[in-house]
Amino acid sequence: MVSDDGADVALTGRVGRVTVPIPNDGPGEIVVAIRGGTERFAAWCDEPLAKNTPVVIIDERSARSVDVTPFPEADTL
Amino acid sequence: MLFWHVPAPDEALLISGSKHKDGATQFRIVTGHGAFVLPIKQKARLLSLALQEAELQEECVTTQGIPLRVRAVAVFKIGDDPASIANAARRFLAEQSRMEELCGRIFAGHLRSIVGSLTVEEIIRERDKVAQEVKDGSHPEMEKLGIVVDGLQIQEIEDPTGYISNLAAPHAAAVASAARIAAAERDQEAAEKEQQAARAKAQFAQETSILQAKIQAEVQEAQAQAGQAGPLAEAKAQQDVIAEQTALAERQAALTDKQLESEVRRPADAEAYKQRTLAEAARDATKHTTEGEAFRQRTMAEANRDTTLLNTEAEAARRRQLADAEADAQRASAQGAADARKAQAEAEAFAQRTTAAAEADAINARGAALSGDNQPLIAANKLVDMLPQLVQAAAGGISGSNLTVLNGSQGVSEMAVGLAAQGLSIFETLRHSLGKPIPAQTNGSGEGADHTEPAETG
Repeated sequence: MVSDDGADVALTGRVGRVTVPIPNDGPGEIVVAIRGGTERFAAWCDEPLAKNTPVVIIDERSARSVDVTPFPEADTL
Repeated sequence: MLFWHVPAPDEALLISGSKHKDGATQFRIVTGHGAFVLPIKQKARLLSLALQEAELQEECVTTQGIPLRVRAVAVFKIGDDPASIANAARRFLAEQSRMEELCGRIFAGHLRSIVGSLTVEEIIRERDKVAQEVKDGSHPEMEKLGIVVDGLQIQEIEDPTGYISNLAAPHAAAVASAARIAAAERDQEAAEKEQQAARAKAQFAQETSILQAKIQAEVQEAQAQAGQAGPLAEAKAQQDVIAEQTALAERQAALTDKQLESEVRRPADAEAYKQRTLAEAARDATKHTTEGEAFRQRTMAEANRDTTLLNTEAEAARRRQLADAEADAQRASAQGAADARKAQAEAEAFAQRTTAAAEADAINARGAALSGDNQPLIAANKLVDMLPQLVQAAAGGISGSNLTVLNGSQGVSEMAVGLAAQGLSIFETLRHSLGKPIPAQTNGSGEGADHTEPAETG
C-alpha cells in the first residue's frame, strides 16, 4: 500500500485466533500470523466469540482493526 | 557504505525526498532490507520499532465508586504494518526518546477509564474482562498513533478504604477457621495415634518382658536341671558303679564262699568226719578197752575177793580160835565189859551197818545207775573212795581184817555189797561163836557163792 516492498500484505482471508473474547458490541483481539511473525489486531464480530476461537478475517476496518467470523475447522497457528 | 542504509530488524528506514504516487505516503518505508539513499536528494531516518514500556500509577475509581490506587505497566510498540509505521513516523520520528513518556501519560488516562468501567471484583478476578476493557478503551486512540499495545498488566492495587480486605475477610476467616479446625482435628488424630502407639509399645514391652521373664524362667529351669543333671548323672553312675561293685562283691563272696566251702568247710567237714569217726572209733576202742579192763578188774576183783574171802575165812578161823581162846579167857573177867562192848559194838555195828547198807545201797544204786553209762572211771573212783569205809565197817567186827581196795566197775560195787554182806555174816558168825544168841540178821555164810548174782542184777 504505502511501500514498494513486501511489508504490505493483505489481511483478508487470513486465519487467526481469538485472544481477547469478542463481545457483542466491542472489539476483541485476534492474533494472526503475518510478516513472518504474529501480530495482534482488534477484531469485531457479529456474534460474541470466546477465547481461542479460530476465525478468519473477512474485512479490514483499518490498519489494525478487522472483521472476523468464526472459522470452525481451522487448525490455526 | 555511505549511500547504502540497512535498517535493523527492529527498525524501519524512512526515506523521504522522492516523489511517490498519490494516495500513498510520500516517503518510502523500508523494513528488513537495505536501500540506496541518494545523498543530497534523499533523507533517510530510522524509526525504532522496539518494545517500549510505560509505568503507570494512578488513582482510579471503580464503577462502584471505590477509590483504588493502581500501579500498572503498559508495554507497546509501533506497529509493524506500513500504516502504523507511517502514523508513528509522522508523530514520533523526532521525539522517539520521549515517546515512552508521552504514551505513558496517554495510557494513564486510559487506565483511569478502564478501571472506572470495572468493579473491584472484576479487576481482581476477571482478567478477560479487564483485557477487553483495555482493548476497548485504548485501542482506537492508540491505533491513531500507530501504536500497538502488547499488554497492560496491573501490578498492584492499593485499597485505601480496605474494601479488598473486607472482601477477603469472610473468606479469610472461614479459611483460617477451617485451617484451625483441620489442624486441631489432625492434631487430635495424631495424639490419638501417638497414644495408641504408646499403648501398643507398652503392651509389646509388657509382652516382651513377660516373654523374657518366661524365657528366663525356662532358661533357669533348664539350667537348674542341667545343673542337676550333672550330679544326677554322677550319682546314677556311682549308683551303677556301686551296683556293679555289689554284684562283684556278691560274686566274690559267692566265690569266697565256694572257696571256703571247698577249702575249709569240706575239708573241715571231712576233718570233722574224720575226727568224729576217729573219736567214735576211739570211743569204741576205749569202750571196749574199758569194758575189757572192767571185766579184767572185775574178774580180778572177784578173784581177789575170793582170795581175800578165803584169806579172811582162814584168818577169821584163826582168830576165831584165838578169840575163842581169849574170850574164854576174858569171859569171866569182862562179862560186863563184853556186854557193854557188845552193846557198843552192836550199836556201832548197827549204825555202821546201817550206814554201810545205806552206802552200799547208795553205791549199789549209783552203780546200778552208772552200770549203763560210759563213765566207768569216775564211778569206779568214787567207789574206790568209799571202799575203805565200807570195808572198815564191814570188817569192824572182825577187827583187823585186811581188805584189798579194788578198782573196777560193777565188780567193785558188788564187792562192796559182798563185803558188807560178808562183814555182817562174819560178825554174825563171830557173835555166834561167842555164844550169845543173836537174832539172825542176814543169811548164812553160804552166801558167798551167791554174791556173783547181785553183780549181774545190779
